[in-house]
Amino acid sequence: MFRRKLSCPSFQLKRNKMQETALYIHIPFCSRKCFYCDFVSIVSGKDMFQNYVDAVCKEIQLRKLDNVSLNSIYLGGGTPSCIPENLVEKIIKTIKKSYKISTNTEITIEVNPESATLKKLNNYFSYGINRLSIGAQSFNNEDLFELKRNHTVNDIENAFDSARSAGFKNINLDLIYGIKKQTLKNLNDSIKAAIYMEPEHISTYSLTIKDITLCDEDMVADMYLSICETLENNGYTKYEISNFAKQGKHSRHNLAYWENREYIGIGAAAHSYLSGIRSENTGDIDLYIKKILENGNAVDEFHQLTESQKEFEYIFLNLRTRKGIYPDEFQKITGCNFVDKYSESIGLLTKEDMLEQINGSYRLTQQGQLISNEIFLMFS
Amino acid sequence: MVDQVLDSMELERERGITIKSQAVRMAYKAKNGDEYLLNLIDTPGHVDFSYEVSRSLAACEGALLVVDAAQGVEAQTIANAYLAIDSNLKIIPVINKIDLPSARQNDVKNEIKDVIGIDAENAILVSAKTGEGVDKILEKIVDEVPPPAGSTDVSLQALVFDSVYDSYRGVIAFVKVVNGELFQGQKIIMMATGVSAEVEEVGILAPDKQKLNKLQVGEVGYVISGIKEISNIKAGDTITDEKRKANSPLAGYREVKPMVFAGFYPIDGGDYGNLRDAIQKLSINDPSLHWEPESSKALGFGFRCGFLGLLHMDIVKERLEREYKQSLLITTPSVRYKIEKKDGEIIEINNPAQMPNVSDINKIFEPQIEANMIVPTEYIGSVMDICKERRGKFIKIDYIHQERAQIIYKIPLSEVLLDFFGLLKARTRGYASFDYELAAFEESDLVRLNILIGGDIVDALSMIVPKESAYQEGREIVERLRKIIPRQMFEVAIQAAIGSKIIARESVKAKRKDVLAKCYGGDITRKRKLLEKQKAGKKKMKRFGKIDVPQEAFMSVLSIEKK
Repeated sequence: MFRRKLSCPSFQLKRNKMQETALYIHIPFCSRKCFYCDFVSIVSGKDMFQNYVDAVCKEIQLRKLDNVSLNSIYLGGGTPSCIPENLVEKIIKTIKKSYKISTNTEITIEVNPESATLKKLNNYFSYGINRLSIGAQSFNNEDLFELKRNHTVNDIENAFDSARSAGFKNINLDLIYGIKKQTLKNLNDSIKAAIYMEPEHISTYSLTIKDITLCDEDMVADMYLSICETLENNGYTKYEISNFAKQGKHSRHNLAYWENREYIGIGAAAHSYLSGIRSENTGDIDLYIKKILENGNAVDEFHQLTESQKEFEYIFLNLRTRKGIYPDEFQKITGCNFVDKYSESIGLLTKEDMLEQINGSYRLTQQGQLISNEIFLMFS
Repeated sequence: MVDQVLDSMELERERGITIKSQAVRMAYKAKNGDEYLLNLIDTPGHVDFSYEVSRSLAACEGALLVVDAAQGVEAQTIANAYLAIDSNLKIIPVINKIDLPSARQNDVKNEIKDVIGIDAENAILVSAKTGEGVDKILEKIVDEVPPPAGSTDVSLQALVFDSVYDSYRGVIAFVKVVNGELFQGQKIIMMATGVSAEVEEVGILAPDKQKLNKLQVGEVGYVISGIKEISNIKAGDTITDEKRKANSPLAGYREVKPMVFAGFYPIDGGDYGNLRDAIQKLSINDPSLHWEPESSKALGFGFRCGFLGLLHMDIVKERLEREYKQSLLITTPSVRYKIEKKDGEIIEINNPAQMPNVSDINKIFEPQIEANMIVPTEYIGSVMDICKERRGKFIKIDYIHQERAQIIYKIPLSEVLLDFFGLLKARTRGYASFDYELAAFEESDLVRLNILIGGDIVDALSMIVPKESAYQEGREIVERLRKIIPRQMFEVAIQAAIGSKIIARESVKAKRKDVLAKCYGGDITRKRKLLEKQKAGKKKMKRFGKIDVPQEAFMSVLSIEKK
């Protein structure tokens, strides 16, 4: 359970040797709130933008860590593209001053098609941002209407073209399936349209509200299988249950989550994972700003993971990836022998074709991916 | 003073009925100026609580028979009146609720005379609501009810008519001093249990406890003697002075027969000890509650309890839940069977799982009762219908008065355990009386119904049923399980079988898809917690091969609540 706390202990930690970590910045502002979204954001916040970004910059400076270089930076939200570009620039500049980054550092920003103008994208590129994640959701206008989005298919295409013009060579498209009235056929068409644009990366998620799918379970299963097949047949490799990428273009930032590595979360509602402690900043924007100005700390909850919790997280996160679990890596991290400790579960799952061993690692089969939660339970 | 002041138990106030007797002392100055001390005991009217009534009556000299002016004489009126007559009490008929527009006092007076045989010509007409006539009752009491007959100078004889367990003070006994005196510091002995103690405190109830130095002949009150062991003070026992023992105890009570049986199990197996303590404590306050340990493969250890009726069972369940904070599962009780195997050996089983294979069985015998029912003649048909429904065999019928018949049936014990009595009462508007004697085992056409999950027999759900209802039961159970067992990794096959023959089948489809939600930095903790919670839930389930069956599934099949 979470304990009550005031200051997150990892704050003052010093690293002894150079380590890589991931940095996430949360921009909790949107022009419209989507009914299915469970990220923290508000709609009318224009007057807060400046103060919020100032607070974010302050937190970045205060939480800087020595001997740490950033493998990735991710500006997510909300809709980061709905705040003025100069504020985005300010954030990036502050990061560069406080942390070590290299030309290899992946710097991503999330944008919505309707606010991704050429001018803005050009600016983003000039700040050093090298990856774009576009909230496309669907290439079918009816679906977009159903989702009550603020854009059309046309807007997606324009935004995408602008992105290429601005120089972005690493673009992700977010897609949603299991939308009301969506059929297998029109989902397929939507996916094909996405493929046609040739993004480097595609993320697909089934529509859920509070972890419950709205569509029929079997339909959603069929949709998932269809998506996987289509994408894999068109040069995209599935590297995580819901994420596909062209050769070498996986999301480095998100892999930090899925490979159970550390990350720093800045901003309201942002999560961090450092030294075995998971922490969360307050989601109340006003309070966040206030707390950062007061004492530079806006942590609302934190929890020191037990060894068994760490082990469990390692397993269920890595099983989401196609890389899977390598027993010797597992041994290094947890000190336990994966095959011995979970021999019963591994045996049963392998027999039932839910788990497979490929090239020395254990990963979920196609069938296993469909009911991954049930399988994870067998490792807890 | 609140309304229903003597119905102090929350349950009583809620339901508007009296369950436990309450004793209270009242000072009364009669019209002629004399001062009297009246000890009043308010008793339940419902037939399920007749034991309470008879114990209270043993402590009294007179009784007010209160009849509703609109309803008139009812089944419980008769039952309670006979109890009072049998105890040789002076009975004062009182007709209440004369304020109602539907009141028909004169008719009711005649009913009392005709049906019960008590002269009610001078019955007191009263309205407890308006207060009319109440003073007349008190006058009549002092006029007609004889004073207690005992003497002060002889050895102490105090009748324990009730008791309650207090966690600080131990057992508090409610007594009527029939002879002698009971005072603080006295060394006393319980004549039936032989336990001795010293009186810590005595007093009266007015209606709250009021401490006194002593209780004298004719007084009703309480005594606290530091006795902690519940079984050492029994209702019906006589308290006497250890140094100057009485020659004989006062007449006790006859044991009442339970009419309804059920299995009481703790929902959480770990609570068995607490449930046992609770039932023990409750039973000293309710000696008509019968109980003995029982066990079930599905539910673990529990108790087989016997009650005077369904309302009694209901009240006991609620008291256990409220006063003793128990979470209970109530099951249909089981009986023992005798089996004659093909090789001639006769075995007795008390658990369906112990039944041998169909191929080894020659005959099955089940216990019977001889049911003795007395009803007004207009209900003869109803009674015979019920008995037939319950596989009863007609023995004979006698007409005892012109309007009453006595019907005797032989019925399998398993058919009458739970709701036979209640059904009988319902279909005869409460007028039927029911008594039974255990009779010899008789051969029946019974089979063992097995339930299989994932191809494995679930012993805990096996039951022995009449062949004629096996299909019906099998189908119902399988359907019920299908609704309760959650979808999981593998398909769940649910079957009902008799021997090797499958008589019903349902299945729960395998889960096809989990929610494939995103899992970014802010989702990891939530996801882990969700999985941990699901895992905890699964741990509570019982595993059959690859299938997880929640406890609710067993409860749903075994519980009587569905009926």
